[in-house]
Amino acid sequence: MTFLQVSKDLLEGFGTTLLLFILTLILSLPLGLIVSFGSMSKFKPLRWLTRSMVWVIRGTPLMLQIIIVFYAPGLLFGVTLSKRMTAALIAFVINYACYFSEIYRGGIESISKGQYEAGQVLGMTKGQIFFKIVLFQVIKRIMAPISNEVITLVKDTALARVIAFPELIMVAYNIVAGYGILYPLFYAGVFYLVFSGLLTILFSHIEAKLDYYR
Amino acid sequence: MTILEVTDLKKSFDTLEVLKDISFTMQKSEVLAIIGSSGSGKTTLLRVLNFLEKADSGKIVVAGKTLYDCSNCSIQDNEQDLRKKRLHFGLVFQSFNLFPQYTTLRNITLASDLLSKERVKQSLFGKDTKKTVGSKIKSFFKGAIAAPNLFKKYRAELAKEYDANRKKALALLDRIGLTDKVDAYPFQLSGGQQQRVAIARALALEPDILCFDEPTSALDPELTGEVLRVIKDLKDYGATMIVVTHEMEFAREVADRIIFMHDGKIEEMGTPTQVFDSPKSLKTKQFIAKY
Repeated sequence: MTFLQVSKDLLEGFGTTLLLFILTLILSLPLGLIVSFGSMSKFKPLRWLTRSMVWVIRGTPLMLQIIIVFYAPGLLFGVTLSKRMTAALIAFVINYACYFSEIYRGGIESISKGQYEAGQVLGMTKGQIFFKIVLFQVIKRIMAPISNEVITLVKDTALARVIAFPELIMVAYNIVAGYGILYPLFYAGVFYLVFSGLLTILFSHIEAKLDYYR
Repeated sequence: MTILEVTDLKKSFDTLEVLKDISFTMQKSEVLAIIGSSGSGKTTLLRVLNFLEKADSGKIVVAGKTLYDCSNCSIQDNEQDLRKKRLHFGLVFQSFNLFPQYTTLRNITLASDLLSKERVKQSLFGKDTKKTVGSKIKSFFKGAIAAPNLFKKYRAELAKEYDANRKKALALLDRIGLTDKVDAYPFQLSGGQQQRVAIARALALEPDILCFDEPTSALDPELTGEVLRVIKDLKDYGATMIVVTHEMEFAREVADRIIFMHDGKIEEMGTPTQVFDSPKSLKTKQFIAKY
């Protein structure tokens, strides 16, 4: 197998990795906010339920969750998730939404009561206070932990291999197993390294942008 | 003209009675200073008047309008009513509480702009009886589809209102002497300047009564002067104000009337000369002797 062919295969694998990565972020970032509202709810059963869910999801391996999402529907109800992508995506979105929700919760709870009260005495609605005053300050404060999670996600996508989702590591491993050459594994590592490097640059750029106020 | 009537206001936190039967009235353009040691209930009184805390009983009447009456105290105000009531009062906090991500100008215009938006929307697209986000969006689009010009009109009218708000904010900035800080962010301002902006922000909504909760307590001593000067200046413009303060000299000089609070009650009330020079109550005497 030529280097060019290996590159082409790995690039394809990276494409699926990237797709899983992007879709997970698009869905889990907003979902995490909703989960964080649940875990801060004044309605106790909802708060209790949400926090238990976060505990279960954060307390068990993501790999196990992927397996369960993929196999459980078939074993329990006889309906199988036809697409590996869908199963992987569901598991990743739920898992990351729970992690993000805790970051959001920390950020939201760190905003001083005075900011809410200032909005209240100025006649703003709860929604206006949240979206016009609080949210932006929260985003600034949680940028560092969020970037941490996002970079972890880049590498976590490799776990989808457990249900034979054709992501980068799986493609690389198949080449190694099929052609008896080792370098595609290191080559795959370079993909992750470069991509997380780009993300690091992107996040430091965003953090610099948000640094216009203190 | 009586602008504020407070009758038998009570407030407890759990078993702690913080306000015990507070009653007083205020005339328009009067400046009332509330003094007293910490824990006497001064701040709670301001918070109850601004509906940040709900009084347990009593009555609050502003300009002849009953805002709070205990015969309804079990009734929960909906958010809309509460907001309207809050707008009768303005509150300047001890710790300024400016919005750090907005410029000076935006801090002042934000609330007025949001109110303008609501007003214009209501006048053009009709009243939303249901206040869900969905119904708002629906009525908004209904209006936009029914008459394409309506949307244009909406934009135009909104722009006009925003412009008016901006001009008003600039005038206020001129009044507090911070015209050169229009585009500065709060962290770039000194404490005194931040507090002056906070005053302008409260004034932008034209409250009937402006309340100050120890406006200079978080400031370095050399910065208190500029804030007190702004408050004095407002008095000359005829603003009605309630000032909770530890600045006795300032209270004596600016206030028309002094309330001395002790242990959740109004211990003594009168003109500055009465309260400071010939206090009737022993507790007032002891308190004033400390300054």
